Amino acid sequence: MNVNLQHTKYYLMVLILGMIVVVLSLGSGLYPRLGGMWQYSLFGEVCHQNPDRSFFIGDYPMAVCSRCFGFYSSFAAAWVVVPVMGTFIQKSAAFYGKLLAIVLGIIAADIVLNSLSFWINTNLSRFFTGLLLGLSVAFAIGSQFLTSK
Amino acid sequence: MEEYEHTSPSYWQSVGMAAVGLGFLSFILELMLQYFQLSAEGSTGGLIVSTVGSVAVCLFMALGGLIAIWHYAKTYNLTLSIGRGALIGFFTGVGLVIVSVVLSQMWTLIDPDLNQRMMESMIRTYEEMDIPEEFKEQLIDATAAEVEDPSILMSVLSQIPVSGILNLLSGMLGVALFAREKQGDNV
Repeated sequence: MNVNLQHTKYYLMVLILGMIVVVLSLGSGLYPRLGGMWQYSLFGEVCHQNPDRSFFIGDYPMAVCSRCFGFYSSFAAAWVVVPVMGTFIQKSAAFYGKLLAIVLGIIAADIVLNSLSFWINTNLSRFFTGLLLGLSVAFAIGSQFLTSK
Repeated sequence: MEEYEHTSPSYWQSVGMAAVGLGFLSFILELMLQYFQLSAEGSTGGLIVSTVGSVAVCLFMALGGLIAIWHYAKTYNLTLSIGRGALIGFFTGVGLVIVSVVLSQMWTLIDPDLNQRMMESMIRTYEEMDIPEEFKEQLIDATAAEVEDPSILMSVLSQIPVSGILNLLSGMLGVALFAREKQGDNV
């Protein structure tokens, strides 16, 4: 079955916004000469930004924690490939509802088990859980952008 | 289901409900976290609660669009286009930021010293962190500047871009989960 991309205008808007957010989330490590803390202010309300739980670029922690970076980067990467995913991502609302519930459950388990010292999460494990959420959200939204011929 | 193109009821009630509801919830949770952090400073329990709480605040701040779409679609039994979902989500994100920032500023009338005590606590935390000195100084300067020169407008303007984008996406996600047009469901 052939699948076409629809709502191209909105697809491009999300693509551009996604890329901008990923670049901003890198913090000032890539361009330290520009300095300032403005990237960190942008994400201040949606991320704890704890440097102990963030990746570093050079001497600078990213503007978001490793879990949030996993979400933003995987969302942007998945969004790029949405047009070629075809019927693979064309699933029902119920499927994506269950998928998101499972992924949020994995994230909650990671946080709670770490808090209770049953499991020690790392930047990599937090990145991985964010990555799962980013992929799921991108494909759930992306499925609305594909239409079968 | 009715198609929204034929009759398009106003979505402002849903936007307002989600923005006020989640803005209020995130404000309350953030306030609780601040007082908890001040009372349990340096303890492991304090760190755990603040980490778990900050994830919850993040979720509240990002899910506004999803909740607004859910309410709008269920109230009027509608399917929505992806563009309308994005618009409703973005407006909800903006409203959520305004509600949260205004409530935070109003709280300073009740407890004027809170921001000062939070700044001192955060600076002590930063000083103990194993991060480069140059960045540590920038972090401390930025934290102090926010408290010494608080501006509602600057707070709102700095938070709208990311909150707006996240809620724009959650609005689109809301369409995919609660109000999608027929074709996707049938595949």
